[in-house]
Order: sequence, then structure tokens, then C-alpha cells
Amino acid sequence: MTKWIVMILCCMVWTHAVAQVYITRTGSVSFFSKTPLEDIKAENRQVFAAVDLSKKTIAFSMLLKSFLFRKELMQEHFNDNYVESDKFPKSTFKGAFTGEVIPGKINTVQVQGVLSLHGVEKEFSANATIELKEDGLYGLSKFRLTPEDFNIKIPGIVRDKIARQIEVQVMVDCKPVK
Amino acid sequence: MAKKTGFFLALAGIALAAALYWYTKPRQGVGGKPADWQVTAMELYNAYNDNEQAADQNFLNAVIEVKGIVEDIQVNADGAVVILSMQPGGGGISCRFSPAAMPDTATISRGAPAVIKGRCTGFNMDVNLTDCEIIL
Repeated sequence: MTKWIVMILCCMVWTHAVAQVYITRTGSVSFFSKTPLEDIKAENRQVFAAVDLSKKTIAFSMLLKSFLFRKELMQEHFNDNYVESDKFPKSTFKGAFTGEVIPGKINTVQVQGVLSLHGVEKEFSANATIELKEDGLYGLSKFRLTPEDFNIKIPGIVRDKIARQIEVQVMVDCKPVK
Repeated sequence: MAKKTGFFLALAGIALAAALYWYTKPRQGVGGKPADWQVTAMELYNAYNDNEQAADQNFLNAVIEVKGIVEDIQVNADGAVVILSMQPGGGGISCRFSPAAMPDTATISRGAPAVIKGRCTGFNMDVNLTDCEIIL
């Protein structure tokens, strides 16, 4: 009997655990452009992310001015000429994922939703991995974006220095909401 | 003639060197720059939470010295993020340090007061400061 009660309690705790929402305010989004002329890299480590395992929803929000570049001029061009961060200060993603999240395993899921960047909202999908551990949820995704899809115009004079497709990496280390 | 050519070549060399310096100049942090504002974490957070647009007028892109309590420290190879003074609404001041200006964990710890200087990049649940350095 005791064994059954313990099992039922474990199931209840587990049901509660998987219903949790996980958040981080220090997520990382980095992008990388590689061409024969120049490599460009920038990272934002102040990304807000929320993952709701029970509803299988994901949301991200970040300030574009929080992307840091090695070279000052690159950072200026990124903010002033490309993403126009004074006019469009944030990039957001709201969506859902499909696939099971089994605790202790690295689970591959498909993420789908709407990505907002530079005032353009676009349907977006990518593969991601989610690992649920005792202390939190770890998420990782790598994908490519085309600047022109978001109405980001690259002047001809620097076109060969910026890749046609930008590699993006998202990493989050979320903690459960208490 | 040769003198003139030499002069123009030297001029072109100087212009090229200046352009190269300007193009490759590393991102400047806030080191050595005086703070435009000295505020408490609560004052800065409340300003943004009450009216983001009005707060941007004052604080966006400004160098700000913020005094608050260290709530969290996240360190990795690419630097650190220190969260100052979470407010009841769930937000605080998020301060990003580059690897070159990593906070010394001997002088900064959770629950202790700290003064941090950085450049304000806006409001995203937290007020974001980048290129931070510890003042006290």
C-alpha cells in the first residue's frame, strides 16, 4: 500500500514538475557572418526567454543594442544602418514546439512561430534541442537567417563582406519559476 | 615634381592609416568615461517601468552609474552578467561585463551592495547595461 502511495505522490510531483514554466534573463543569442573578406561575430547575453513545458510554448525577447561586436564601427553600422535599433529596438519570437521532452535526455524538437525583427514579422521554424535537468532546462538551436527577408538592406559597397545567410545560435539556461 | 609626388604619397599614406585605424578600432567600453547619470537601481528600474519612452529620452545610450544589491551573477567564458536589485515586478538591472572587465568574485557577491557603471541599451524585462565595470 505504502509503495502505491509513494508511486502516486511521485506521479503527482512529476505532473507538477513538467507543468512548470522555465525562464532566463541571461540567455545568449549570437550571430556569425563568414566571407573570404571578413568574419563578423556579435553576441547578446541579456536575452529573456520563457519555456512552458505544459503548453509547449516558447517566447524570446532581446534588445538589439545589447549585441556587442569586437569592432566599434561594425556595432555602429549594425545599429544605425542595418537593424535601425532606435526605430526597432527589440527582436522577439513567439511560438510553440512539437516533440516530447524526456527528462535527462537531449530531446530534439521542432520550433515554429513568428519571428519579429526590424519591424517585419515572419513565420519561422527551426530544429532545437531541449534538455531537462534537475536544476533547469537547457535549450540550443542553430539556424540561418537572410537579412533581406527582414527588409534589412546591405549596401553594395559592403555586400561582399557580409554573408548572404547569417548563422545564428541560441542558447538558454532556464530556471523553473517558483 | 618629385617633391610634390612624395608629399601626396605621404598624405595618401596618412589617410590610409587613419581609415584603417578607424575601420579596425576595437569597441570602446565605458572605461575613463564619466557617468552621465548616477542613480539607484530602484530609481532606474522604476523610471523604465513607469514610462519606457520617457526613460529612453534620458538614459538610452547614456553611461550610467547604478547602485544596488547584487541578486545574481552568471559567469562564462564570454564574460559575466550581474543582476542588480530585483524589484517586486520581477525585473532588475542586467549588467553585462566583457571578459576584459570581468568582475572579481572576491569583491562582488550575492546580497552585497555594488556600484556598477555601464552603457544603457534599453528595457527588456530588466534595464540592460553593457560594457560594465565595477566602481565599488
